[in-house]
Amino acid sequence: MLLQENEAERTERFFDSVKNGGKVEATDWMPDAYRQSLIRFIEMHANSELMGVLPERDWIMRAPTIQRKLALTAKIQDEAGHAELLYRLVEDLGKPRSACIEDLIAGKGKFHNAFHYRTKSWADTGIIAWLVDAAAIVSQHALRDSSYAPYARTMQKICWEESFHMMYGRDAVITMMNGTPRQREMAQEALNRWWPVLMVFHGPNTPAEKDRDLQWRIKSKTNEELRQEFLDTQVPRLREIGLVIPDPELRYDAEKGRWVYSEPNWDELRAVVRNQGPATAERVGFRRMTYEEGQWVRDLMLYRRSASRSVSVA
Amino acid sequence: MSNLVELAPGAAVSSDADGEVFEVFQQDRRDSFPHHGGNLRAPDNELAIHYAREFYGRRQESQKLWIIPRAALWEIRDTRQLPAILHALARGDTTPEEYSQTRGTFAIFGQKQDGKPFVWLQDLEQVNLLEAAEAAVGLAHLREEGYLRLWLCPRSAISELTDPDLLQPPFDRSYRRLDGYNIREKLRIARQRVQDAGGKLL
Repeated sequence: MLLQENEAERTERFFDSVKNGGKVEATDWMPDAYRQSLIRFIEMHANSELMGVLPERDWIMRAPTIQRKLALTAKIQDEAGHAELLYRLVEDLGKPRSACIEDLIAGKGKFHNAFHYRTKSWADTGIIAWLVDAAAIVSQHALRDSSYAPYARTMQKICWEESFHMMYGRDAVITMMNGTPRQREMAQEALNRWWPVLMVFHGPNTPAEKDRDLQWRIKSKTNEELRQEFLDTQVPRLREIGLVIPDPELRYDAEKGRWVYSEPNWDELRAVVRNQGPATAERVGFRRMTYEEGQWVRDLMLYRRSASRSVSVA
Repeated sequence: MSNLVELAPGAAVSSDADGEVFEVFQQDRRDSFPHHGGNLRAPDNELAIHYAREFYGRRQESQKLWIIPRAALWEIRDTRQLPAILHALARGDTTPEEYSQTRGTFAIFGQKQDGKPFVWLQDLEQVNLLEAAEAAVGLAHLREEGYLRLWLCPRSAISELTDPDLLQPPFDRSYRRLDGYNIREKLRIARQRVQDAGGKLL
């Protein structure tokens, strides 16, 4: 009984500390609920980085110039690297990377809504690099204040790397808008398809008091705050180069100090995050295939490791 | 004090069936000292160096990388516990024999502020782990502001990568950096076009 009370007091002290800005390191004690929330949150982030390379991967060989090909390849390498850094955080919290990947290829792992959709033209890569990454950066900047210090520090590094992605994407889209009418149409058509995806990217407008990740300062801003921040920065940038945002309701309400927009399709988001998106099966299937095809490499690495151990023992 | 692994079982695993964890410190031209960048997992030391270069140096952002097996790091979190910890160390309960008996050079790293990365503080020469721990704690107390945590490791456990051909190759990598894109002129042209079209956008 005494032990239980001590545990409850310790947990209460822990949450008081994180609510007041306290930082938690991997080697610190933490309540299991907090650990499980971190695993869920960071694993989804890692899965998203890993799955996020697939829509762009399709365009490496079709990049219009060598410079674009280099940049797109570098971006893809970054995202795969981010996945690796994030899976390491999850591993230190107690879930092995192999378990995360096995969940992902079994269709049980979650990943961000944007990566469940197909890409249809070169302009999609520009819109994704600019706007999907901009939406992600807004979230990731806020995560630099996370109560879990290893995650916050990893976000510093990731944000620094992501800033090039956004600039590369913006550069590609502006180049198209300065090109031929057909190129401008292609950019506009891509924006029309991706805008609804972007509007649900940060999730539903959940009140702060009901968002446990916010209460525990795993994240530090509400979904709606993040969406508003994204709109604040990107709407003027899109309009100034001649793109039309495909939402007739979209306007800035100066009185309320916020953007007003058409109600996004939350049913579609719910289906997509349950892994029922238009390209989910194909993407998860591709990841499963590469995981299986790469098994011999992992086996070789482990063989190399056990062989070197045998030598050192001998 | 104890090995980082033993300090928090389940929270900081140093190796499993799939590989070993390595902590990575990095330093670029603006840094006075190496600071902790993060960690990685690799099947062995040689591949850990390659991975560290990919994860922490592919943008030419590091002039020096230190790659340290997590199993060779000891963490001191609460200096008030030191007497008991030193006692345990002296009995050899928690210390690999080679580190407690052998004299050598130890590197000390400190975390000064909550949530901030560890920074290399100094090397201690001709000490064993026990003496290194005492000296590290003394050093921590010497500083007015103090340190929240200290890490210690034998210098011999650190693999150093400074090869400029690997970390600072003379290639144009501007395409993977923010400053590699100057959109000012393109943006001016786009804005002018929108203005000339009088609101007709395409």
